[in-house]
Amino acid sequence: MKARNATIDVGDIRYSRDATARLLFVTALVVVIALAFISMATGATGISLTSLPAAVSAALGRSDNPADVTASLVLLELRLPRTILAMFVGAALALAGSMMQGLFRNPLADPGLVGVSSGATLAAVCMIVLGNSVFGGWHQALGIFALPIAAFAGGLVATFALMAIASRHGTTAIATLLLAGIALGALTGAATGILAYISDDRELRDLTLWSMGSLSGSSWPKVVAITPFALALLVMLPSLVRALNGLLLGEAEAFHLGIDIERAKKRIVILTAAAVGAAVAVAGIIGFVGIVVPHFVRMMTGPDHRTLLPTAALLGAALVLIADIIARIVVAPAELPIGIIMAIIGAPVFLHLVLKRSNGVVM
Amino acid sequence: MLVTEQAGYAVNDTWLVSDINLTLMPGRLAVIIGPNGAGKSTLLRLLTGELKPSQGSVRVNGQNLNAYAPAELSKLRAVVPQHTILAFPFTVIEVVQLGVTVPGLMAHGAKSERLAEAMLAKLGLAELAGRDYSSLSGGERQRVHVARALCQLEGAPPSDAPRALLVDEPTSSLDIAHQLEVLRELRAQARTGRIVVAVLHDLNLSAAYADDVLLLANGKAQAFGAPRDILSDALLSSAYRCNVKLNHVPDNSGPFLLPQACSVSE
Repeated sequence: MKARNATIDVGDIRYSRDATARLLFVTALVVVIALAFISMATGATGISLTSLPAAVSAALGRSDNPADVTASLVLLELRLPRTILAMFVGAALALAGSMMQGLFRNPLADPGLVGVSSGATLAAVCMIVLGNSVFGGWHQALGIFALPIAAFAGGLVATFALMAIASRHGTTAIATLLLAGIALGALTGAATGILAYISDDRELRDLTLWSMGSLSGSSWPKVVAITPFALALLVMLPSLVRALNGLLLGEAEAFHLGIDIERAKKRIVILTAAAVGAAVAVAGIIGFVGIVVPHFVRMMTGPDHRTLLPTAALLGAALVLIADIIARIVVAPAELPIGIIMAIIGAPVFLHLVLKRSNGVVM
Repeated sequence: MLVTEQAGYAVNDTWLVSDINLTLMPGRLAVIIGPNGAGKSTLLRLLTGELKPSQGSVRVNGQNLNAYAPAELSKLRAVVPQHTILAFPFTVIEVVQLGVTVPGLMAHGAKSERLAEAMLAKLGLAELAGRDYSSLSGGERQRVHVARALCQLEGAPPSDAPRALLVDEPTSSLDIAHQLEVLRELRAQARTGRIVVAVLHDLNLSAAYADDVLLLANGKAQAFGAPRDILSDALLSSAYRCNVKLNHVPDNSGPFLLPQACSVSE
């Protein structure tokens, strides 16, 4: 009888965590939808939430009121792609952070810190500045996909190079990886500086905005450009969930549990580079999303990637939407770069994590 | 059947184990003993398929271990490593459930949850199911990973091929009662027709529970056989480089060793 009671107790505890996971997912979904509407109604042109229906009906051709037509243009051509891109960038960065942390078994492993972003940035900057000269042929052939593909390739090369540097006998020392990531960051910073020096005025302005992270240049072609990357994430990520969960126990344990470690690691890195590359290509450098969001979700519902990944994607989307809304409000009618807002939110959380970990746990 | 033929493993031309010829049968608990650095864990890692033999072969059901895809292998054997460090805060039952959810042996949550609860109960951990893993003691953690391995074996689809349970020093952090509990469970697993291999440090536990004992020293098998044949003064003294004096309990149920009977040889 006693054992039976114990089992029931156990069930209750388990279900409460499952229930939290479900609740958090649904809440995050509602919040994202709400924020998407607010994002649509935020900006220099005074289109408020209440004028959305009129603008939408104008967009559908049911209203000829010039004010409504202008509003619908702003909504369709500027704010809708911007909102979509904000959601994608947030989701992609949160997923990339979750994957990197699972791969390296460390909550501090963020694409921005281990070199994925640095590599993506350097490649993208090369494409921006040299796209019309040195890489002219490529730029023309790839069209709108040139920037995301370059960023993806750059992130991929940097990550594999850093892993090769930091890995000894099959294990990757996270401290070495972070330090190597810092070195690479400095190097890409220098290279970006050189490229900025030789760039013309328009390119320079693009570079500056972009290096601080901004969604102000959002457009439909950019949405199209990231679509293949979003699809790749959607299709491939579910097949990596079991590997990511197994890796939480360690590489040897994951192998014992039936995971093909080398293959899984490669796929995780490729997918991370795809997510980061696409995000960097459309929005520039936005830090900390990959650290703050997965950390929060793990705290709430545990580290199981089956619940972590979908919820982190939604909350990442919500966080970038919020940051982008703030970026458009605080100095209106001008805009702050979104990267600045994210740094203000993210850096304290990162510091908190570092301090918590130095409390007896080895990095 | 788990068979090694002249199996050996070398790192940079240093042989950690070599020339191991073993036939491990279903239904038996085989224990690997030997001094520190004898190559016990390396041999176990060869048997799990984690390491690829530098010489010879390790075969299960007639097929080379390294020829199996990891997913196939996970249905044939489960492993409890010496140390497992969790990266993130799981609850106990979540850790045990990884034994079936990671290999994809079960589709649905409720079934794997019931199985995990049953395995925890087997190791006397039922009450800890909802606890945060990081709040457990070393001994409790060890038993959680044994439960996880049992979960993996139980969850695998039905098959005629015998399954193996490979355990590296499962009792190193356990008190006497839990040492006995874990070894009883290992022997019970063997009795259900599984191949069970455990690396043990405690010679008395080996004497009491093993069906077969492999004595390893300097990476080489010194002897393999029934405990009463292997646990002898001469064999142990030469393997451990100290004078060992074994005693026998009056009812003749096997040898035992007292610490004071062992003195370092000059």
